[in-house]
Amino acid sequence: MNMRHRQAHILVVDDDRDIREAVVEVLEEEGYGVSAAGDGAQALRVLDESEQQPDLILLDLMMPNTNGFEFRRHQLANARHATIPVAVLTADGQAARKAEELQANGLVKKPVKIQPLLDTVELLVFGSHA
Amino acid sequence: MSAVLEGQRGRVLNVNDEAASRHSVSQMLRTSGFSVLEAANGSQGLARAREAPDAIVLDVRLRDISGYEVCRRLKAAPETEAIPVLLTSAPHTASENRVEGLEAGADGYLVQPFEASELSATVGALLRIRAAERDAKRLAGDLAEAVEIRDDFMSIASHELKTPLTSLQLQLDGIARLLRGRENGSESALGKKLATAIRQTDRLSVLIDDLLAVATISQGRFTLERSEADLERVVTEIVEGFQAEAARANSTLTLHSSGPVKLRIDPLRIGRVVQTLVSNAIKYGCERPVDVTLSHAAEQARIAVRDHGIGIAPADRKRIFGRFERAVSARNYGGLGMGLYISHRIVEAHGGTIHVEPAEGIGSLFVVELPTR
Repeated sequence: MNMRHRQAHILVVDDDRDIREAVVEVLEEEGYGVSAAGDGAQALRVLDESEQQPDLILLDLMMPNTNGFEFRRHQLANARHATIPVAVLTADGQAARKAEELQANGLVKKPVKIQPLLDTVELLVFGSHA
Repeated sequence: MSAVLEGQRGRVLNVNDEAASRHSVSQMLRTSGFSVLEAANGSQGLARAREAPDAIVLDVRLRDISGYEVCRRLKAAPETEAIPVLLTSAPHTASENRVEGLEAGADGYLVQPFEASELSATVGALLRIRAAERDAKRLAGDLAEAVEIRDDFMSIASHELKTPLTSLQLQLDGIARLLRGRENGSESALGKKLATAIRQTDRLSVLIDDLLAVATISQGRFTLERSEADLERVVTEIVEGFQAEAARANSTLTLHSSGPVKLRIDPLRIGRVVQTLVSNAIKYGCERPVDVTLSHAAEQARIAVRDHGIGIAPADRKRIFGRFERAVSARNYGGLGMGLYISHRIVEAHGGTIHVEPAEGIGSLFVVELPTR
């Protein structure tokens, strides 16, 4: 477990429960504080209700109710949440174009393995690898 | 001649400003089974053409607008361009006039005097051509639609396949990490089985990417994601990743590199090209050594993959870069035949070339050349 990860908090937003839980587990094992949401609306509620803002949001795009695009629009419209970095986590064939459209800070293409996922998270949260 | 009902063969617009001649042509058309619309001059003809007749018989000697001009305007307007036009003219018309008529877009030309049977047969022929054109157009439309549906399906299917695969890979990867933590590096039977499972999900992942790539290429939506990258690093990572597979195939895989090569490329896609070539070299390499050579000059970088296996017949050296093409029987070797097709498109999109060179002795030599500017 990496000690400096303890101060960092990640919000994982994905409608697929297995993927969401696997990602949460991997991040927790690394020592991150993690919260999770199953769609964009839930994620917005988590942002509103939590006192500590996450340091990074891992965002799936294709989700029921409020999808990743709608979530991002609401997030950017709210001054308190707008600056939280977002990494898009998607299986979309046009992933890079969509991440750019969303002005995302990072991109994780599904399928993804644990180490590349952790590398991307670490880079976006701390600006460098451990 | 068997009796035909008037109108049974379609509706013809007859444009002629000489009443007697117009009546005579209309009569011939009616007895031949056509219903007739009449126009007494060129502008009337242009107006009635919008009533969508099946064909137009148009006299060239009109006083208000010449028949040639009427024909040109009919062929220039989207709503009338598809209606076949048969020009008719006075006796002894010079051949250059007939040529002018056909160049104005007319579909046929008759010189008076003509018999009812000749007029009937000519209009009938024009209608048959038009019907064949319509069928061809409809078929082409159906085909384009079917291709679009297929490509949309492939895009959606690859997205849907990736979701469970993501979950599966994360789980397998998680198990591998747990196992590594407990075993202190010793390779157990469980670890070996797990490595196989991970390798197979990796293969599945490549196949899904290939399906998606073929769909986006076919839809014309294939785009590169270029960044500054070191080609040597891209090639090294792929070659290292294949060491285990080469060993399993009783082959050796060696990289010869002249050093780092900084290029603006799509590193994942170029990696896919190298992966295809190395994978093929091992697969068709008959357990003999495979050599990957990376070199570069001022203008271009070159990746060469050499095997000593079954080789490729000269006749197949171009064909294998086509979609779903293979030089070997699908019964003996698995795979979808997409790898080289996709590689070709990737290299082309980078402004480079990929080809097979005649190898000395046995085996194949694949060469990829990428511009360095």
